[in-house]
Amino acid sequence: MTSPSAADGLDPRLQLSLAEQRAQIRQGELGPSEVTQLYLDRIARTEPAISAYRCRLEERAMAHAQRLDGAAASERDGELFALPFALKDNLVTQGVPTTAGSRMLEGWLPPYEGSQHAALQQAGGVLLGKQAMDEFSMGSSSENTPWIAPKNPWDPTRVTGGSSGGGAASVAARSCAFALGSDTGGSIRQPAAFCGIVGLKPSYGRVSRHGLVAYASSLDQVGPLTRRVRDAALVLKVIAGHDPKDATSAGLEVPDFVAACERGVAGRRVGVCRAALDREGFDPRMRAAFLENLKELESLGATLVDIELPSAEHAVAAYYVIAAAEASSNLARFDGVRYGHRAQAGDLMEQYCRSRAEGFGDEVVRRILLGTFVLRADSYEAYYGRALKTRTLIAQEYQTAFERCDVIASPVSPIPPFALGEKTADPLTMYLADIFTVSINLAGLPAISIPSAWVDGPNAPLPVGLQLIAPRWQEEELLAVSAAYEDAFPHHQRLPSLIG
Amino acid sequence: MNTKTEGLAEQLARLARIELSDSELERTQTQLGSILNYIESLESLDLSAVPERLEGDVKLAPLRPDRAAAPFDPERLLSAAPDRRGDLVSVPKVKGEG
Repeated sequence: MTSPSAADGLDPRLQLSLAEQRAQIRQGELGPSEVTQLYLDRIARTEPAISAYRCRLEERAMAHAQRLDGAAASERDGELFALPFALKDNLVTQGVPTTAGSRMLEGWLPPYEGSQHAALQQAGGVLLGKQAMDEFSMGSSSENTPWIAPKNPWDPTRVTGGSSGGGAASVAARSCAFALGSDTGGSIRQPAAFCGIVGLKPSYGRVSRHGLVAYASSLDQVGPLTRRVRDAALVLKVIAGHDPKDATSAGLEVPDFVAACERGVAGRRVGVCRAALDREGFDPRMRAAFLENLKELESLGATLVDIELPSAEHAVAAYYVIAAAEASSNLARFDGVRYGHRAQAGDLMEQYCRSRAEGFGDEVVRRILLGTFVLRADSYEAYYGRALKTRTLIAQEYQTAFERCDVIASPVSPIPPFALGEKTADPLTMYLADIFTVSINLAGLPAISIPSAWVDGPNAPLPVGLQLIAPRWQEEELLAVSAAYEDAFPHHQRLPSLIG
Repeated sequence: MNTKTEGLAEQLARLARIELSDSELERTQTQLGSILNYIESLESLDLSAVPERLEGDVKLAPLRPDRAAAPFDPERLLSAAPDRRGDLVSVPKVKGEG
């Protein structure tokens, strides 16, 4: 590993796990406003290089932390007491701007509190700000934005991945203790892999979607972006569980995700779909890194099992039909009438058409039009119906595969973080970068991305992620394998050296 | 593909209520063409025996009790409206096909 240079001056407390930070706070070694200040200073230092935050809430965060300074001992029990975090800007925060990365919602102050922010506040967390993302989560590089795109802390000439790119960059840069993102087709896992951190997409229904600005409701799921696997377990524990405000959140007991991290890998069967490794466009360096990761899992006591997912190669096509169809319905609400951007117009129809043209960026328009097309009566059967059936088929194939293994290992991305602007001209090329992540959303499964390797880049080594996938509701399996892997291969200790 | 997508972007933009310039329509048309072309790879799958929907997990999603709850304060919602008149959201005249 290369030694960190500019980051040598990093306050060691920013390197601690959430549990370690929390212990210091409980023991009075670190005060709530002190830890918030630590992160605010880090934000000030790193933001000029990475632009991870869409909206910084310095005063609000400090006022909150100062209130916590005076909290009674009984109030200090929160699982995330005084830990400073940030949210993807599609997670609704009452009275705090929430744009979903779109001009359409610029200036909107939500009149209600989203369940994720409510849960984190309840656990004692301090909101530092809202983070950069692809508009309405539509993108794989966080470049689909009317504002400045976030930069990869490992090489600021490269993308963070997306759509939760701001959160992933910020966690890697240590400018928040943890972040929440959302994942519709890989939007937590892929930026986590690109930025060398942990990203967990829970099972569909594990975490409430109340307060998540909807993109594709049957695929969207909120999850943690963290430096460590055990941090992800802790955050997931706080945000998981049934929420009466989201009828798709499951009424299941929330398992002890933190304890699951201690179960180890030994004896676990790890499924590998070898056919997927021969896909066109899979960078040979990424392939080599993945094969090395498999050996590492074996060295920890896992048994590798070959599995087949023959329809998975069609996942991207099915995904873009289903996601676009749902997006075209969900985004119909933005008409310039009750909230959001309104254009000046002579009549109502003109107002709808102009408000939507001015409010939405190119990629959002493209997906709305694609969704409108596949839902038309004369193309429904051939496109939408076919995509739904493909989705069923993919889910069935996963079920069959899990009869032979406990988790499936897979790459996260076929390519390493690419240069800013490299793929913006051709949307289809960008879609194809989602090949290893979208099938998991289609099947509603939980999956995690953990830092697992480095490949050479022109300016600095670039992080690679390993994806682990489990049967629905089996996040514990993911955490058990991931935590053991992280203990043996502590990639998280490395620091981005090219930023402040 | 060209015959199939001829005028398609314009039609869809009208349905989706999005005003696009001629150059935007042209670009979108080309992009949609290549995306649809890719999506048509699904035609190679034999899906005759596959149902459209997965088994749902309805039992896992309990309904909340049917009880009256405090309504939203209308003022909080109205304050987000771009234009209002009293307690009403105001819009331009509705005419033509609207």
